[in-house]
Amino acid sequence: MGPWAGRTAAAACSAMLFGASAAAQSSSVIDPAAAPAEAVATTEISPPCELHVWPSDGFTRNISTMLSRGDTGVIGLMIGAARSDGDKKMRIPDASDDALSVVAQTALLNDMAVPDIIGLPSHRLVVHDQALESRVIRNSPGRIAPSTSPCYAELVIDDVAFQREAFGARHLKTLFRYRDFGSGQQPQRRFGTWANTRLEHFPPETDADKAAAAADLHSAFRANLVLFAQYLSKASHGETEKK
Amino acid sequence: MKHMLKAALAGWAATIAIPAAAQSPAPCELHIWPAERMNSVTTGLLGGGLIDAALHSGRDASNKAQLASALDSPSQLDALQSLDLHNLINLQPGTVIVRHEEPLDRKTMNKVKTRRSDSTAACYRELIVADVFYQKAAIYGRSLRTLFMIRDFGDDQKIDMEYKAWGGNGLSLFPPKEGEDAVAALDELGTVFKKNFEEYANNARASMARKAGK
Repeated sequence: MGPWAGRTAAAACSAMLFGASAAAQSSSVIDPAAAPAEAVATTEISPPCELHVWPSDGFTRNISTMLSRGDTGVIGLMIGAARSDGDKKMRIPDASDDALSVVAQTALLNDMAVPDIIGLPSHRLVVHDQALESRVIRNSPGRIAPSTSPCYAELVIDDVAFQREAFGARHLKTLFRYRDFGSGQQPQRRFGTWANTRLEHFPPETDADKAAAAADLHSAFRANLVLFAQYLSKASHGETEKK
Repeated sequence: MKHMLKAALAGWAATIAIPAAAQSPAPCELHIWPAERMNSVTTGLLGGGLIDAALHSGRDASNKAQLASALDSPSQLDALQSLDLHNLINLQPGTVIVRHEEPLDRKTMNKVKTRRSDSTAACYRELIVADVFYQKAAIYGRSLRTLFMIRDFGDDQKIDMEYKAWGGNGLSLFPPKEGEDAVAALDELGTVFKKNFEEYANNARASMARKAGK
């Protein structure tokens, strides 16, 4: 049993764990039992299209501007500006570790009709439960998953970052990378960009705010995926017009 | 007879020298650390200052997020290791490169004057990426600047040679526009990071040669 078998099993297990998610996906997953005999025969001859999705390795980045460092009014802003010592990649405390952990992202992705959102409604969704290393994401020339699907696509969540701007504006930024391989081993199309959604309740100020803050992150995570799909669609139209 | 004995002793010495030579000395080590600190400064026609910083704070925050992603620690180390470090910074043949995935605390960069690792290698160097800095100026355009530092400790805890300097080159794709394909722009950061190191290394070699000539 190769590593791929383990991943498939993990994906299946993940779908079982999140029963609601499996139900939500059912519209985009080919169900041989429910399909007519002819459709079943077709499915057996040609394996279904697949959209493989990987979560990012958690939520670890706090990007803030110089001006927001003090975060304590005008004096704080001025101190922040004067320090101008840049920002560190740091782990955000409170509820964020759990709210956008790899497990939480996997659950959120399983809960969304990702193929429909991305514009690939006939693709079977395969959500992986392990994040990829950045060098794998950026340097893999071919398919990351050893799938032989005749119509294979990948969506990798490369990064999830919290960004705090001057005067308190907070955003969740997500970097998506999409590649469509069709039936080949080399991508026919690739597109990657950041999506950005404003946060209203994160980070929490008290323990009582943690649930709302986590819900805020989840909502922004979903919104970013939808936003990315819009960018992808817009880019597709642009490419078609160029041709 | 005397000569014969001498020759025999020399031959014996040579034979016993062979295993000694075979036990080659421990290889030299180059320890490399990535940068923790990313910064982005955009200056407009106001030429900098608090108001200018406030006006561009959103853009700078976004740039920092993209820098931190495209040049995360493994990517920085991979970029350096993809270069011919041995020739670029005159490493001894067989030097072993030791990666440190966790960046050093930037505040201790200049304060700590001893080896940053536990290594006891008799030939030990450090290469530290101190800062990654994106700058957009109204007149000069966009560039990525990187601060590197090499320290050569030789066989002890004392710095025999140190060279710290910036490498900087222009950017043509970064930062990407919102909603547009960002892959090429993010890849450009890695390419320019490597170019910056090559520029730094050329200056470092020249500096080392000057110091050696004194």
